[in-house]
Amino acid sequence: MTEIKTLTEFQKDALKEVGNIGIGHATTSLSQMVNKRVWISLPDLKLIPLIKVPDLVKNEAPVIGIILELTGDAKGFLLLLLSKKSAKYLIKLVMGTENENETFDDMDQSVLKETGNIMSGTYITSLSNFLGISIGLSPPLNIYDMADAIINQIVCMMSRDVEDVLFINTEFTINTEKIEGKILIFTDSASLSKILDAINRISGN
Amino acid sequence: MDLVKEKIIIGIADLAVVHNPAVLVTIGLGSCVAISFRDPVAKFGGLAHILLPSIEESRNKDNPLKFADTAIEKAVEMMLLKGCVKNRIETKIAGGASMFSFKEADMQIGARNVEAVRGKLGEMKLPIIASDTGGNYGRTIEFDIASGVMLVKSAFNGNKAI
Repeated sequence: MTEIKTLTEFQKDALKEVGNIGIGHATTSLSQMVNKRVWISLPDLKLIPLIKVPDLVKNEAPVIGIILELTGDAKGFLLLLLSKKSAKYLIKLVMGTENENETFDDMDQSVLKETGNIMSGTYITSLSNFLGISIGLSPPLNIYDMADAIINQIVCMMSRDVEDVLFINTEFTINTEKIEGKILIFTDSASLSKILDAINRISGN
Repeated sequence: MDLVKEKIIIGIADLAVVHNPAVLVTIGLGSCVAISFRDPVAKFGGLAHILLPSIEESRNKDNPLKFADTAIEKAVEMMLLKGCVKNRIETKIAGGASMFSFKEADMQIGARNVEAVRGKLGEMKLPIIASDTGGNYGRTIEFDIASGVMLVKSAFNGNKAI
């Protein structure tokens, strides 16, 4: 398979549109879960060397990371990042009660995992359906640590087989509740060519 | 007068060798390993940030700084070019955590990096005078060339100077 090194403007636009569909569904599901309006940013999308990804994120502060592995036609990882404050607000919104502790107890963690599951599930399912390809998702893992270190480990895990990644970063906010989060998708260039083939099929090119 | 030491950020698959005084920093090590090098007499120090054990096992060999074996060779080569003497070079290592894993093989990534770094340093007869590796948490490293102290910071597991 030929490795894709650059994207044309058309491919970039099409991928952004596909990303928009995914994040749109993901935030709709979050919105239904908490019964609040969720705002999303335009996806920031780049095809870059894997080792350059950490430069785009740079955040030493501890965050909640919910990680899912992508399998099937698109291989890689989906990472949902929430600041500690946002995670606490989100749990309060879902549960109606607040855990006053500095840490996250088992109940908190399962709420976060479930949120990650629902958002990434709807994101990936809507992409698979739209593109007519098959993408699987692992169960979510959650972790509370430096954002940079979480991304560092993902980069290590992918680096053995992968040089360049399609990196999609979308931010979402619930303004009224001061909740801010990010969904990052890392997928390798072999998966990218499958996604682009699917886009070509749909657009009749 | 206190001199503010220059801080130099080392990215992933990156290496710097500089003269004292400077602080070499690498932020958010997960399964990667940071290796510091120091010649106390020549007053040069270096920091490498590797992400894979060996160039031999890799399909793509473009960037020697990605791998434990080739990055260590490169660092020592740069130290010697700057007038350091090989048997004065001391090393310290940190990182190689396993923060999360989806399968058994993922667990080993950090440990394999540490093993490869130790193996290569041993093969080159470079002493490891301190280390802080493994565990399930991320680390930020600040290596002060003047004192040779490596400060290892973490989110919830405290900070230590090794």
